[in-house]
Amino acid sequence: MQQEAYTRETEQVEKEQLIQLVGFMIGKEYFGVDILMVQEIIRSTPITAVPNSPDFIEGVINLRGSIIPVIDLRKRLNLLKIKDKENKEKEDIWIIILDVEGRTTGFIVDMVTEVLKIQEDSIESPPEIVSAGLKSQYIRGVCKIDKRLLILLDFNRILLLDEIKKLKDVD
Amino acid sequence: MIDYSMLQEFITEAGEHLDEMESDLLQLEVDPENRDILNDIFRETHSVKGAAEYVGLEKIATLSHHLENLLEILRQGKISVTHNIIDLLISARDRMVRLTDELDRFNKEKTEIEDILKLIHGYSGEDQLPEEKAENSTSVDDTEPEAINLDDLEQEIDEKIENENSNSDEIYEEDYDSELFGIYLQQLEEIISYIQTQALQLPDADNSEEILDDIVKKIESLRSSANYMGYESLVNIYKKWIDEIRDVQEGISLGESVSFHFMKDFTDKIVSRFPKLKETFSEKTKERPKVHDHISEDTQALQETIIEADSTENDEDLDFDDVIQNELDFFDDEPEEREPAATQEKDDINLTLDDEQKQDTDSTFDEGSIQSEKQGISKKDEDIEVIDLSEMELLIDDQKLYDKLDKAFDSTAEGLMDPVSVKLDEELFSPVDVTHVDPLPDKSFSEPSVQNLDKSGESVEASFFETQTDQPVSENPEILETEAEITPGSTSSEIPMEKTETEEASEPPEKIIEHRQKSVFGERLVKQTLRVDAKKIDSLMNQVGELVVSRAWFSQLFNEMRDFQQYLKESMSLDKKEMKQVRGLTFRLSEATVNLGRVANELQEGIMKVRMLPISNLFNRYPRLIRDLTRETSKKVELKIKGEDTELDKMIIEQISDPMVHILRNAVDHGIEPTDERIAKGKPETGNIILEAYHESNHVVIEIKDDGKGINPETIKETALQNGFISREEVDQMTPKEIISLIMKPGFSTAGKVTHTSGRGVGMDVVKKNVEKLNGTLEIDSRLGKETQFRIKIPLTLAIIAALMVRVGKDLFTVPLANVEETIRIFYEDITTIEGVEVIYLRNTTLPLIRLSEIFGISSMEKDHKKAFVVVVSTGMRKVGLVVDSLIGQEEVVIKPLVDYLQENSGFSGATILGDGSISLILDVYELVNLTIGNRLRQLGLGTFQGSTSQLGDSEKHSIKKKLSTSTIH
Repeated sequence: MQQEAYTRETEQVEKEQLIQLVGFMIGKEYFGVDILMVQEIIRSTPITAVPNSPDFIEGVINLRGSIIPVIDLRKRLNLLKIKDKENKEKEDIWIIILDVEGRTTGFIVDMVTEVLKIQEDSIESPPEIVSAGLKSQYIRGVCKIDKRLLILLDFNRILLLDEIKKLKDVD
Repeated sequence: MIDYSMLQEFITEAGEHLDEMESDLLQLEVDPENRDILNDIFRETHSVKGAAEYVGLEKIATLSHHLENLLEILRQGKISVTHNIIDLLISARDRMVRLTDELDRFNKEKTEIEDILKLIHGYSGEDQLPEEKAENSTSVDDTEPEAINLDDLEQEIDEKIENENSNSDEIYEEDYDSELFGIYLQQLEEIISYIQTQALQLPDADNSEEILDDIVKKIESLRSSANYMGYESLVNIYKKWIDEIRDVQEGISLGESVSFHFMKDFTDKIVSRFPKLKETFSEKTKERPKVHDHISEDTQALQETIIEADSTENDEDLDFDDVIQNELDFFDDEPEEREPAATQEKDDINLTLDDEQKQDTDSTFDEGSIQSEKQGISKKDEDIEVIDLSEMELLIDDQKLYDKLDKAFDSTAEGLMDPVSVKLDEELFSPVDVTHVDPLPDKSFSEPSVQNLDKSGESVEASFFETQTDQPVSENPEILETEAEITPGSTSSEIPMEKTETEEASEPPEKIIEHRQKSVFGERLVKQTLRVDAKKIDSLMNQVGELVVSRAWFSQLFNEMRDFQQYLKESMSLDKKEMKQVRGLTFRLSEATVNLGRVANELQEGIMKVRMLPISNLFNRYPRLIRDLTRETSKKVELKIKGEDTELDKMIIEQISDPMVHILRNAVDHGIEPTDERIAKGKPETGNIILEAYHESNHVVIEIKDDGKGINPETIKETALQNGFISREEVDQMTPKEIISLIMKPGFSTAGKVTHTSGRGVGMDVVKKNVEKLNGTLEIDSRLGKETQFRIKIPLTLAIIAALMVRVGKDLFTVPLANVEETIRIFYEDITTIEGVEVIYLRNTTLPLIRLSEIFGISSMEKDHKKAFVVVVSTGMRKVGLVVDSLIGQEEVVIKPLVDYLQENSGFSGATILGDGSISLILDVYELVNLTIGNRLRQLGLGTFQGSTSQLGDSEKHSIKKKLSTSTIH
């Protein structure tokens, strides 16, 4: 009995644990990524295009001496483009540098909003269809914040090598 | 139990020893009579054994142990070194390599060693029962000066000793001198080695009781001679030993299973008491400037002194000994008075201490200081017994002793003894301390001692090394602490000063020089090496790369500043005074930039040197290869190596190794003719293969030359035509050298006919590709019937390359200079199209063009539509022109890798960061050409595949096929 009570208690504690997310926008969608994965966020740095690479790879950047690939998250996720915004994008971009299992990669997003604290247990498994044609396989979970739906992305999946290579071959 | 923490260390260390062993074995094969080589091999085996035992690797330890026994027999000349034995030694060595390899991969020793052990026993077994006297005459150790000129006496005394002679008093009076000691040692050595070989048989032998009886007899003989020499503690050891054997014999008769390991313990124990013997049983090297030699020198000298100390003669040499003996006695007496009970303690630590102390005693004393001592010390203790030294040492593990010794130090320092004695006392202990504090190389601790203690410091290292490899000392935490306290404080700071004083006071100038030379020599002996994780160096290299980039950045800033200065002068029309300031700033900026550049250059060179290894690391692998290759053929081949000191990046050494094997194998298989054929041609019977390395500006050139039959261009030509590698028109225009180069075409050699007729070129394309991967080039030259020469030219390092910067659109691209043949300017109107491929005519050949803007999908920004720049690059056999917008210039760039998914099949081998922080992609010319061909085919449609490949090289064909197959999979 005691044991059970104890387990329940620890479960409670675990569930109450907060996680911190970095929130960002792509178009009208609201996304989040665990703050522990985020190395830094940079704005407007020259990106060198790599010819013959998949189109979602924007190019490479020089991050203090390291050469880091930059992926356009919108293209990678096949999100719809908002036409009038595209021109602005070039001048005013946000790159979130993430450490995805040791692979430092930059992701271009429209805007980084804020750091959020959410409770671990408020994350729900993704619904079948979210919106804007986003495939549920890239989603770790969703969570409601102020009536908005925050989508937690699974960056390991997004960076899955085989898939990138396949996409490249299709190109 | 295997100590896994030490495993990696062991694998590298053993690997080095085994490599040395291999080259030594090969030398031995050429020169079987050479004792020195045999000694080296023995020493290497021993080192491996020591390390293996320490780490707990049963198989390697056993194998090396048995190998050692066999080598010992060879060394004694009981068996002469035959080819069969060398084969056995080599295969044993290979087995050890295999075992270490397994350790590396699976963390355990997998392969069995029984078969080899059996073979080894087959040889060593023959000599299990050597005759004592024969041994006496054959195994006189030439490193023992005492033993040289007293054969008769030796025989006589040996006989007496062997007969368990009891009338020792008589002899004692006649022959109690150094000669006697030499003889005693020799006898000891023989009997111990005899016992060792016998003991090895024990576990397998049926008649173990008989063997044991035999051994007991021998020990008894030893005991009586020890008694006769007056070595009481030794006598005790022998007694214990015999008791132990008797116990075991009882055990055997009762049918119990018994272990014979104690036999080794005892022999080791005894051997360790005699530095001289220890040397014989472990390292017996004089030639090599290694730590071991230092020890042997020490021990030998010490041996002499100890021997002489025993004698009553009164000549100059004696002083040395007296001094030592006095010091020792001083030590002896005091502790013993208070602590007599501990005398009988015998454990490994004590014995080791004993030895090392002896060595250090010796090394501490140079003649000069002894002479100064001469007057101070009367020759009193004439009846000193050598064994006292060790008995005194037996006390060392007692905590209290240290207090007493400390007191002794104090009192001596206060003037009871001469300063030199104090020094001796303290130094006596310091090396031991170091040894015990940590059996692993502890730099922070041993280094200061090395530097400060000068000569004695060297022996610190020496003894330290000794302990580590020979007999790992069991650690006693209590001792460790106290010792650690004593050493740094008392020894390192004060002593050297005292020493110098005495030296200067007493030594004649020549002696000082001599002494200095010796210590310089000594430093070289203990040359310290550091094993560093390659990653750390890589990261340093990266940092330096950054620095190089910053340097470029500064140069650019300087240029900007100069432009700005010009602008100020012209547009702003500043007056002279204002301009002076600006000019001053520009000048200082330029100076700072130059300075930064110099430092960056030096640093870059320095770091690069860290990664550099002499190419002998690579070349030394090949004598074995040649030997193995020629063994089954009727060919005689001699491999000559030149320029093995040339240094090369370790990474390159690893990567160039296999291609070299290939070339060498070709040279032996197809280049060098069989002996009779050579004789018929009037060539020397033995074929020569010359391996040579040298620097050529920023490159290292490796030449592999054989004086074999050469390559016949006609044969190559015909096969190339037959197989459709090339058209007749093309062939007709080619020089013989170019034709020979055809053997590097992919697939050229795969046709059976080619291999049989020309005999060359098996997989030469792979060789070429490997060399090109290293940004190197491969050239072949041959004179029919005379020689063939392969010339590999590779850059010194992989991380930084010289490159040509080109611009396409607004992007800068980097072309490795190694690939660049030339740059030309063309008119667009000169471009013609052959089967959809743009070409230009360049010096009577067609040069296919690749427009980078086209294949990269970049819109060219060039306004001049008439002319274009073409960078002619060569990818092995094929030359291609890359059409670019403009040429920027030559630069040294640091290669940085791209993410794998960007690098694979992209046509880029990496990227580099330019002075302004922007990124430029480095072209992988080889890939790029393949890629382009793929694109072209796609444009042409797959239907024309057959037709279009006719003019493509085979590599392209391959890659196309590959591409096709991969694309169908997806």
